[in-house]
Amino acid sequence: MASQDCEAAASSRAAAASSQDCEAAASSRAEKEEQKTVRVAASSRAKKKEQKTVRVAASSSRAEKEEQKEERRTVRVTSNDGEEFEMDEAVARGSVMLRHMMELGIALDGVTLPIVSGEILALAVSYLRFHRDYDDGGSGYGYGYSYGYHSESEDTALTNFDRDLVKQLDQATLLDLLAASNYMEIEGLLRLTCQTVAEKLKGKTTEEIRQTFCIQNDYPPEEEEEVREEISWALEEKSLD
Amino acid sequence: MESEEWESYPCSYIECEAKDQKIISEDAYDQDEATLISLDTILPDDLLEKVLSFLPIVSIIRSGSVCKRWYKAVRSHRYTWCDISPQKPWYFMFTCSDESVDGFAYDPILRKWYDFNFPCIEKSNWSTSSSSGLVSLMDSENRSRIFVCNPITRDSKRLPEAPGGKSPDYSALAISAKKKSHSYTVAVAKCKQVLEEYYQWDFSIHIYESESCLWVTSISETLVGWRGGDECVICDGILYYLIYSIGVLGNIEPRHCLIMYDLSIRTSHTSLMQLAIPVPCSLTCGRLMNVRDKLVLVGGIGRHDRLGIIKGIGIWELDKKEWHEIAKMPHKFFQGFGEFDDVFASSGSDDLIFIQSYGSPALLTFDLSQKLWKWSVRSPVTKRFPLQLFTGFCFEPRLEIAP
Repeated sequence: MASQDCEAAASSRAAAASSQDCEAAASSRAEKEEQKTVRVAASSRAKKKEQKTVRVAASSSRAEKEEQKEERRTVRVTSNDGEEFEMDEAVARGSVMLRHMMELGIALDGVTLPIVSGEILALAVSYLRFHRDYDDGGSGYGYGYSYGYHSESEDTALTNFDRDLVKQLDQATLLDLLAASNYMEIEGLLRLTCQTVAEKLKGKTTEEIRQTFCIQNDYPPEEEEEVREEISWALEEKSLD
Repeated sequence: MESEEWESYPCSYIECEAKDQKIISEDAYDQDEATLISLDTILPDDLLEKVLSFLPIVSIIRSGSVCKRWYKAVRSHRYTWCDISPQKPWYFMFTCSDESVDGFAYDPILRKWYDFNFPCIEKSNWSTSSSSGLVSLMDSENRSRIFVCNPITRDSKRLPEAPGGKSPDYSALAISAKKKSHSYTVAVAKCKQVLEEYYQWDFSIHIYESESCLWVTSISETLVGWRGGDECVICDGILYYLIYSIGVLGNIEPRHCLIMYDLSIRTSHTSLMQLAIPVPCSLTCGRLMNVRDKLVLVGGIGRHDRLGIIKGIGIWELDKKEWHEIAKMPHKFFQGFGEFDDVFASSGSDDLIFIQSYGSPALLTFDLSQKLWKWSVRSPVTKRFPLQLFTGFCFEPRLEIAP
């Protein structure tokens, strides 16, 4: 009986011990967990601190750069009647003339265009701004973010913009814009305005062309007769359908 | 830059503007009078030329009648901004093959016929060849009398006398012009029967270079059992020429053969016959043309039982000395011509081929890119008597090239 008791006592003591062990184990495990958590927390805090440092460092250096850029990032273009336009350099690069001036460093205090009026310059600037987002503008330097690839919707947007730009212009403004785009060397706008003027010539008779564009006929009658004879096939009145 | 030109514009132009405004009728336009400014005061010559360059050729030419300044702009030859890619050719059709050389020119893009006065040509049976805007013409009565012209600008030049005799039995003409340099080569192939040897034909090729302004006799050979004809073309520096079997050495089928001669090789010891290629099948007649630097043959396909009778028309392209069939004329078009002789007119360039039956003024086009057969707009040429013959040839309308 005693042995049984002993055994019982022993086993209960063992149980107790083991449960103590368990507890101890459990508590030590818990402690360890805690410590781990603490460690994790600490390390993550440390990481965050580190990242913050990096971020702060980066942003401050970026800010510095931006500040530096800020001084060169826009160019001010003034028309002959005093209207000023501020453009991003990237936009201004659409005009080969402005691009060269910027490269030569002579655009820092702004550029004045002695032969372009405010009204015309406004149109040119809006063309440059819109096209900068979509294409190269023919400048050859890949200005803008797309590298020559357009989606269909972008193409439509471009065409619509171009069409709307020239559609409401009266003749004098259109011609002035043509001349200005040639002067400022904006290839796409020059092509657009030339095409628009050409459309107005298409299908018109000689006299109609003269009237539309106010051109004086300086041919003496005999010479005019000769010229018309020479190109008789091309004169609208004589073409056959 | 333009600025100097601008600032020095004379005041007289502004006066001119006021004067012009009186001519304008007030109700014709919906623009304010104040905005009607003469185009001539705003656009300098080079910008005027640039605007004109966006017009179809017929409109550019028409612009020359507006005023003297515009005439000069049209004629300026400063067409550096012109698109030099190939243009769809026009077709010139004679009104009849008799004494007159009146004709009409067909523009396949605008689908219009123009009453066209073709420069230099004196008879409708003259040989013609065209390339990149230039057309060369050979007098049928004096085969050494050759012209080169631009039919649109009407610039023309008579070449020095070509060697090889004025009246060979057969002669063929070909021109090849370079788009960038505007230089050109004219080749004349002459063929004359050797006296009393009816199956021997003396054959020679003479080449003219625009840069040297000289004729050179490139090759002279005697063909045996074959004779030359009037069909030749230059393609990528090689002269292609159709020859015909005389039937001496038994019945050779097909009876047409193509010989090739590399123009850059001046002395050749190889007989031309060694490089000859037979045509793809028996033909009643063959027409050669340069289509985007490839040799194309349009041939009348003869009936098996009666070779002289035409039953259809085929188009082949030569690729590395082998013929590839591009198309056969669908039967409905073939019938649309009415009577079809075994010989017919056909020419082409860029990616358009024209086919015209000698017996009718109907004109059929074949677009090689789209593989599309299409009738032209009805031509204003009319058949006035039953045996009237019609013919024509094609040319590329260009402003910037001159002979």
